[in-house]
Amino acid sequence: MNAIETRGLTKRYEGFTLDGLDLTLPAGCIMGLVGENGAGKSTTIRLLLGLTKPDAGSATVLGTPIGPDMRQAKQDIGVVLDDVGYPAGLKAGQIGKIMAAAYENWDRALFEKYLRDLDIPTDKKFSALSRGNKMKLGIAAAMSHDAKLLILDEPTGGLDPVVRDEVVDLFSDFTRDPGRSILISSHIVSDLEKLCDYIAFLHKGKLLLCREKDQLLEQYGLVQCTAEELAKLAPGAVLGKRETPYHVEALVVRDALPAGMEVHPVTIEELFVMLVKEDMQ
Amino acid sequence: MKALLLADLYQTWINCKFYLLFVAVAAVVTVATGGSDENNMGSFMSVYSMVMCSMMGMSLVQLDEASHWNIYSQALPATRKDQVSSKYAVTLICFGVVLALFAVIFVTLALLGRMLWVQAGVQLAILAVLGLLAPAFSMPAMFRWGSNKGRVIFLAVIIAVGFGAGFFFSTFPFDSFSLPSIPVPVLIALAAIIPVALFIGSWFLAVRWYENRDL
Repeated sequence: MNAIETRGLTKRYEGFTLDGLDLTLPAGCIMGLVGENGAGKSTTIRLLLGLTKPDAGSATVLGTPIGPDMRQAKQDIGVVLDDVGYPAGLKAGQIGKIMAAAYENWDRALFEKYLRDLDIPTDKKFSALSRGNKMKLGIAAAMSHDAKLLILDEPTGGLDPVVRDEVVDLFSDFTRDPGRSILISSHIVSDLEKLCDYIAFLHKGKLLLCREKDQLLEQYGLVQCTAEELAKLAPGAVLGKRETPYHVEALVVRDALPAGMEVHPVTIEELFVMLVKEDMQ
Repeated sequence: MKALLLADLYQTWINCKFYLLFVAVAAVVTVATGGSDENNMGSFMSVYSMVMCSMMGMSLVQLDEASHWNIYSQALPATRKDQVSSKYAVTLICFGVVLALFAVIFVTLALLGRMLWVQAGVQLAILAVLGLLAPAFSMPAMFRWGSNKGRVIFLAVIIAVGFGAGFFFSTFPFDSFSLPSIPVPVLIALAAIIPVALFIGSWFLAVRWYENRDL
């Protein structure tokens, strides 16, 4: 069973359309959603959680069609949204009690362990916590009920690099159990590069590509050459380029290059930026 | 539903302590002046307490929107019907507490001979009708359009009803038409049934509207 499957998922707002999204997240895998602000990452997540209705297309989450009553499926989903929205006046302990009432498999001891390990203040009201601590509390709650799927919208935003690294490790540990999956959106592409099996690029509401991360890194590379050398390459070999006064840096398909040409590895961030810039031109 | 109700009760306790203090003061003023004060301060305080408590559900919707709990709670295993029902349940709990408190006060005053039994009954009926009608009219708008627009719409309806009633009674003076003679028990039954029916209808409407709203 796939953890998430969307077919032609479409949502129209004034000035923005999430256009026919086809995504498949196999169970046991981690998928990173990469995209600029307003690319459609949060809209996708809201649709998957049934917070908003699609205008067309369909989707299933843990085998359950998205819709108003996903109550049973949500027992197995842990969620962290971009803006962690617990009631402002509550403290961590009270939030834990609410979660215990919501989830059949709530593990109080595990939640308290996360509170300690992540150094989350338990004596402060939620509204008095820093953005980083709010996010950590959201992560602790999302991971304390034996979820099979984590849906995370910018969960590392606002965290300092050390805590971010700890949190990325937590997510990584989470998927050691082969039945567990994660869909994570982030602007911090280096986190996704460390964590994800699959990467999906969203740009202006459209899916630019969705592949296995290793496949992407093997398939694409960067070459540095002159404009004349670049012009000699086969059509379709160059997916994007960046010109400087000294040379041209191009995103290329490795297999389409002549033998012996020096190709440097590309990072997911470079890949995304160059694809988007090329699309904008 | 249990989780959302717990969250709402925590919120009520944390954010609405002032209301409880006001109700306590209103109860003391009513006991001190009830049945004998010329300015009806006790009546005013009891009615005002009920109006404030009947707005508890609206206040909770507003707090949820401010903290984004209205969105976050929908990621929990709960439906929108649960979310609406929790607000109505808290409203009913507050309504019940305030009504019970003033029922005890009015009955005690009547037993002590400081208030007529009829007066006590009418006061309680006014409290009950007010306590159910205010949220019945306001809550669906809050769930359909959000707390800010909902509150504006609620106020617009109240103002329109006020002006409409004022215009009607100034155009058609109360003594210029005769009311059909309805037996008192039927009137009491109608006074009890209509607000309850409107409150239940309001819950259905709020659920329906909220289920169709994009969060």
